[in-house]
Amino acid sequence: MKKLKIILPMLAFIFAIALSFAFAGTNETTVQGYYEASPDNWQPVNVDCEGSSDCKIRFLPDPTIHQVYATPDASQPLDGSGEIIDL
Amino acid sequence: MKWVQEHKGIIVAVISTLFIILFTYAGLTKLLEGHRFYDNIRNSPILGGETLASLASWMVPLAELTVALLLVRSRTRLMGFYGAMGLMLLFTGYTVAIVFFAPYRPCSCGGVISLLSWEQNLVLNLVLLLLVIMAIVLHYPNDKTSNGSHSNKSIKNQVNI
Repeated sequence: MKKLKIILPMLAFIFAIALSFAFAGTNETTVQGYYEASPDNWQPVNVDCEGSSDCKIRFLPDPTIHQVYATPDASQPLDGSGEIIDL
Repeated sequence: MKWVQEHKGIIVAVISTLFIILFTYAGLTKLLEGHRFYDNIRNSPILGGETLASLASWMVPLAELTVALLLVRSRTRLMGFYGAMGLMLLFTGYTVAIVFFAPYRPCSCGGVISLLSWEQNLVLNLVLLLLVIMAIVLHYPNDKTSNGSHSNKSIKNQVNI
């Protein structure tokens, strides 16, 4: 019984390690991009952008729509489905 | 209440196992997914700031793993529960700030918990906070009772003397 008190938490610890490795990378469909929060203020953002249209995001309840770019400048707009992604 | 007192050993063990799994999973996921947690803090309407983001992206997962390790050993379990309470207070405070005071809500932190909304996350945090407080309270009466009975005995002895 005394050994079980030590083994059980250790098993839980090992189980959680396995669980985190199993789930890590399952959300990797998202890409990192940048949006212009205010003039010359670029912020990083993770978005699920796939497609050949624009990648646009919106931080609800703020109705402002932001285009997502690959770099913190407006030179490389990221491609997306064209739909506005609410974050 | 009597049932709780009778089974407090099992209750404390179950709560500590729950927190070991929770903190190990959360801490390792944050470390394994690297930049994502950093980006979430950078995108946060409350925290933000590059220095704070890089500091928190290391400190929070390391603190979670340390608390999980403290909870594994029975000798350091109480310390682990206090650490877990500190972390839960921090997370609950942050969630309260996001839900009630933030100008906008950022995307949540990742892992399985990202499936929850911020309100659901707040409820979960409050439940976990109550559980850890319960575990600390259940940890103490043993000492208090033994000390209490001891002090009662010594008082009786003093009276007899």
